[in-house]
Amino acid sequence: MKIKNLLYKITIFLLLSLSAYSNEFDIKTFGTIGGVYNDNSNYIYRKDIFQKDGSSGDLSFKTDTLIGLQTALTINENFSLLLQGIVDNDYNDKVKTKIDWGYLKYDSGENIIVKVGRIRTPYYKNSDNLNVGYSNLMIRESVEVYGQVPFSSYNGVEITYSNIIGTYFYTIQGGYGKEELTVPNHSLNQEANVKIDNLYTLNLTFGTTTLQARTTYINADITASNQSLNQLFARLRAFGLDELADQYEYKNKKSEYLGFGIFLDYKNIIFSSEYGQRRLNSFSRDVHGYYTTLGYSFHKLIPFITYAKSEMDNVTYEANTILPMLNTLLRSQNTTQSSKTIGIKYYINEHLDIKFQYENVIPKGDYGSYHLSSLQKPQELNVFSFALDFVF
Amino acid sequence: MSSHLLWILYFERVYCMKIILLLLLNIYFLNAQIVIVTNKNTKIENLPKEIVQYLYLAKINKIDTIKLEPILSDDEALHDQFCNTILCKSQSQYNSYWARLVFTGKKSISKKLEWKEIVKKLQDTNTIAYIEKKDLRAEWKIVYEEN
Repeated sequence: MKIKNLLYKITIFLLLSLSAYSNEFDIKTFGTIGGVYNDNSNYIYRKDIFQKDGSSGDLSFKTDTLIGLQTALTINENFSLLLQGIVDNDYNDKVKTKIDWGYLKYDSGENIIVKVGRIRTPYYKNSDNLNVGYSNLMIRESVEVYGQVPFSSYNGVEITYSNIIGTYFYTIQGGYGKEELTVPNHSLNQEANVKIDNLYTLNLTFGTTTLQARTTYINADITASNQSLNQLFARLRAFGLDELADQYEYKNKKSEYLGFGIFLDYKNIIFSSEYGQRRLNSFSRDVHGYYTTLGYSFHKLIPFITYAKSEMDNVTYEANTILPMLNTLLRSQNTTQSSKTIGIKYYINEHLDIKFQYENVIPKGDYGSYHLSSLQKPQELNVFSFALDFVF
Repeated sequence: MSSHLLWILYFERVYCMKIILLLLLNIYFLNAQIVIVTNKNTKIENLPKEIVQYLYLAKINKIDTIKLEPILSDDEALHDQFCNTILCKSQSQYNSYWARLVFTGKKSISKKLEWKEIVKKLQDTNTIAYIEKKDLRAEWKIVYEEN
């Protein structure tokens, strides 16, 4: 982690130093000022798994509020350096600055783009612009799809080829890399060190400017460990339960994600739907989920509705193995839930928008669901949010 | 008495119809016809609507081997109409689309230009612009026109 921080600092230093010698240096800012009120104080409602605090029967400004900075240094016609960082509330409930992505980009000026550095993982349609609220319709993307995989960037290389066939365009995007991160388990109040190796990404997009379809396939070898997990699986093996340990231990496990999406943006009608499924072969179990959003643009005002649902392929909230400690771990992996959202987005101008949304979340099974934490029996949540997004 | 009332009703109806017709004509003329133009010497004759959309939404920047730079107008009403009729998007959706491109490091958005600057830019053979058809000049040619 120290090496990673050092690399970030060197990159920022290089960008700032080079900017002094270049006219082709561009800085842009974006951000969101948002508030969330979750009416159920038995749950903590978070934007993502990396937040410690959220809304629990109170109004939280920490959930969605963030500020971002993007710098671009054009070296020549083909090469540029890009960096995006954000400031938000982190897992330790502290305001923290982090580099979201940053890479050296080669653009052939025709069909090929190559990126080397820290790159966004292309799981979902809005993977690249998750933090740029102004570019999205909803305040938060549906967690039933967008919450399936906790890491959003990797260190590596990505090649993109795009072209047109007749009146249709297509994009083929392939990447390779690795990543290391710390992933919290809120229900158990633990953190796991996650190592991702041999990460391969493939993303295909096809369509017109009105109607588009995309599919994504991602494959990686993943290891998740901490002292508690290591002790648990060592104990299983000591009891001769190697088969059980092999089944659930997250050690160099081949993991996959497959996603599909279809998107319509025609005249005033906005429709989008994505389906995703992860296969992890470990204590973090297989999940599939989808969302469907429909919006209608009345000039500057866009009302929208969304329905989303995710289910585990094998439910874990009723896990009943021979070892209670393993049962607790499996139950805490529960991500079964559905949600209904209704909201409006109002474009103020080219730089500002304002959004309001109401979300009804129904978790299924103990231990809450995506990013929620509760030891209570499942209960409904009513979540009210507003956000002011800006880009400059 | 009753025939007098009928006459009044008849004239009121005609008057209302005239107003509606005038309003419709106004709407028709307010929505001026937009055309996509380029320099007369550019080796491109016609562009399908989808290709114009790809150029303006930064999906492509070349036609065959000719690199084309799409020009934006600072005339808000014209730009709004261009987004609606040619790109088939509301202006808010267009802004959202471009925010996505800019803040994912894919492209940088072009500056919106005044009429004088557009005229100057169109002296180059590798530029296209949307204009009102009535403003067409002899040194330009139409490469796309909405029917």
